[in-house]
Amino acid sequence: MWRYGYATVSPPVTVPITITGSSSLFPLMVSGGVLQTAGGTPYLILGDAPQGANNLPLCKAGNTYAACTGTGDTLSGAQTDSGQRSFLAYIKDRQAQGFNSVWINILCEAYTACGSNGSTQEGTYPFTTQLSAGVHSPDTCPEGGSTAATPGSANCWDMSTVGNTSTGVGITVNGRNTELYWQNIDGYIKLANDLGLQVLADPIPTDNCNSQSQGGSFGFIFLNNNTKNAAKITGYTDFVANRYSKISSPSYASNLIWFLFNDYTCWNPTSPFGNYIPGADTVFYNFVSRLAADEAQTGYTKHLMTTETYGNSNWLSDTVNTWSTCITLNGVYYNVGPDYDGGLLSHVQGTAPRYWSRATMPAKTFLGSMQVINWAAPGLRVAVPRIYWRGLPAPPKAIQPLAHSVSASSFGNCYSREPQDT
Amino acid sequence: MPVTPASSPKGTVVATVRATWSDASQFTGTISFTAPNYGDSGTFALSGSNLVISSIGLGISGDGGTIQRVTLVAEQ
Repeated sequence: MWRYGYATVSPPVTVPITITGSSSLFPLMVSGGVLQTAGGTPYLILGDAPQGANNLPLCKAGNTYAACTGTGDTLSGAQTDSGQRSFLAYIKDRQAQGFNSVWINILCEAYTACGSNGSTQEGTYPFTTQLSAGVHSPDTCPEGGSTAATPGSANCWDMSTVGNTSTGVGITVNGRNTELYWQNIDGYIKLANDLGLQVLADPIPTDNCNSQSQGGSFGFIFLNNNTKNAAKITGYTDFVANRYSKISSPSYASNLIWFLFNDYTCWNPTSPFGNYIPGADTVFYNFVSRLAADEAQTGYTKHLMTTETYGNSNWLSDTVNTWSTCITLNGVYYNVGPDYDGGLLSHVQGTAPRYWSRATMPAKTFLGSMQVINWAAPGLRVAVPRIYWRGLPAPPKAIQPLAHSVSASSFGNCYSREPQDT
Repeated sequence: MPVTPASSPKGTVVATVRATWSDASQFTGTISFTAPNYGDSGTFALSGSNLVISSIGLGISGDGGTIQRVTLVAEQ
């Protein structure tokens, strides 16, 4: 540096450091009670909640990863080109804001702002065929007069008609090509991966427990299929495991955590939601235990699993089945402390709390009402996730304070419930 | 420009830092991080005259294929 008399401080010098090789983020793992990247770096989930992503085209160019990768949809472009109002534009924006995770219901219906019979916005279906008569009361199947008809709700789908359950590849029956549906789901996961984001994938949300005709979600598809044959449920389980967990699958997803069922303890008669379904715990657990067993096979990745319906702080957890052998991340029950975090993950199952993350509010309104992303006003952002980082030296550098300009009305309840806020 | 693989463990020396006066006299002051990048949010640290991957930071395993930046200032 130059010496000018008593000048003693140099100008700042910025040094770029090139870091070679590939990032080893996924699959995430748990080690020493800490959620970590595959490379061993502590990982704080900072998630947005596009549960109803099926509401949107994957991108302007189509609904497959192949069609969308490398294309240019952006939030700003969507202002003048409605074709760019797509998942791709959305997720680019979220990545730019610093999010590292998105929660997507890979089966989705009207409870989370998707089509009532589980179809995508472009009219593809996850299943081909309905159940025949004789399902769980009060449902009546099939809807529309035959098992081949298009149902009005999702309750009557035969879960085993998802595709080839041994290979995880879709099939075409009754004019419905399920491979098109699942390629759309693949697209969410692969586009997220390209941007360094993981997907908290809910393979079957069971919000509100009730039959869909009474405001529920997929709880009764479980019950209806179980009444006909429990193997129909495990057939669906095998399909998703063979598609997303089998490492040789073209749809294999390393950037995935199973985020199971959501937040309704349907089996517990003291549940504040009041939609008690005797025996639902065992039906749900059949899915969980089969998924864990599938992923324990050689050649499969054992993804982390979590659910708000089972966790350390949830006194409504099922005590009949041994969920703790399957669930690897502690879930936090809806509106329950002391480690309530606004509806997503807190700490690792069976350990003392180490860190908290804060997702945006579970977004039933996501994209449906445009409260979370407003195409006409892209400056409107999601609520600022609150970050709690305990026992570790610093937040991940990728997570920075986010712009916060959204109206508090959509998120006020979340903030008021945050015990650490008080 | 320093180059290091993403697999480098914490404590790895990334570069040696040296300050010199324009008149060739000996620099006897200190070197520290400053704005705008500081030590890349704690990822890097100064250890004597070495720029190292901080032993108490988050490491660089998630940074493969990127360029990270630190900003230094010398004071005497």
